[in-house]
Amino acid sequence: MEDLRSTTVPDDPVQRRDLILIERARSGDLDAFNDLVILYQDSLFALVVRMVPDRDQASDAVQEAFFSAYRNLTSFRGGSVKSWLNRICVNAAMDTQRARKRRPVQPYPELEDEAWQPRAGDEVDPERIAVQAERSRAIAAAMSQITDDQRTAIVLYDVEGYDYSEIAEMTGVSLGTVKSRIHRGRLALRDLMSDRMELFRG
Amino acid sequence: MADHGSHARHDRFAIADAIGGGALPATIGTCPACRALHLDLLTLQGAVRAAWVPRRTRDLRLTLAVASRLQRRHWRRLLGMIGTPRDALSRPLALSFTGLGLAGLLLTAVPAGLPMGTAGAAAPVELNGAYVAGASTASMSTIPAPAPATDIREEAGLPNPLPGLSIGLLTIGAALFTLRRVARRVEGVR
Repeated sequence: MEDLRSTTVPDDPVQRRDLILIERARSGDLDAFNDLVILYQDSLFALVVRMVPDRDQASDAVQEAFFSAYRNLTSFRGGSVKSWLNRICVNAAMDTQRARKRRPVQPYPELEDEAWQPRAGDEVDPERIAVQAERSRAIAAAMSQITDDQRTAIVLYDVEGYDYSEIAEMTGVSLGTVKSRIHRGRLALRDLMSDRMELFRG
Repeated sequence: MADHGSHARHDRFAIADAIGGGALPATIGTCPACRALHLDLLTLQGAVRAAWVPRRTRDLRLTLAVASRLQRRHWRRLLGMIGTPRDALSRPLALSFTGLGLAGLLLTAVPAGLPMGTAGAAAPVELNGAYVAGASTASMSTIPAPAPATDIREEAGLPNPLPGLSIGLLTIGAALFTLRRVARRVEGVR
């Protein structure tokens, strides 16, 4: 078995920890793989639920991504485990989007109040929390109305911080198509939110 | 002072491009509506980044049973993929094979003497003792067309391959449908 530590830079303690877990998982240690699941399931779910705005389907997609990662542990070639898992999750989310197109179910459901997850470090002032929850609800509703391709490109660019060429490679389209999807998506979002922009000012 | 009525002609796309690091269009400096659009797009970009996401609905750790299922042999994994939402191939393939098989059987069942062409096609014309369908009379006079393959086969005493081929395609289609059903039952796909 390839020793991942010898081929990668172990300076970053997070990467070093992840590589050790991957190596243990490759030698059959399920607990090590599940430690990775515990470490990354929230951030991966946050990525996928933005692309597939349905909690159950997003959970299914992330679960499928972890299955795929477990099956393909041997194909991991070093580097960032988080990036590797992110890419698998993006593929799983796009599969889910395609499946939704083939077999349309009900439109994206409204989320109940207790379904929202404030980010770590967000303030505890009840008034600000209420405003942020309202903003998040409005953004989620608008995002669910733009196309899957536009939403995916915007999430990968604005939230995940990938650049245009990385998104083009991940989604299998040209650089120009990625830019076009992002720009059209932004303009569509603004049109959808034009009468609610006050919510985001001040 | 800019003409506000001209905003409709301004390039909204270029303003959106500026959010992603593109050059700022000159209209942002001269047209209040373009400036407002730019500001709104920047605000929305920040709002998308800051938006909370819904909570995860379940723990995604792998159980021992699932892990051992994922480590199965390749053909079992392949079987496991058939009929799942990721499988976009087996159903259209099964439908195509079955459809082609049925069409072939129907063609076989149609009596040989019946004209098969549409209104636009020419009627069969006798030429050198053989029937040639779909050829115009003008072309008949100049180009001697070969006899249809079926007639040649019949003359040579060879069997028509269409029924066998159709039954083969139909069988493959039915087998694919059965495989999907078995795979979905084995894998517990809804």
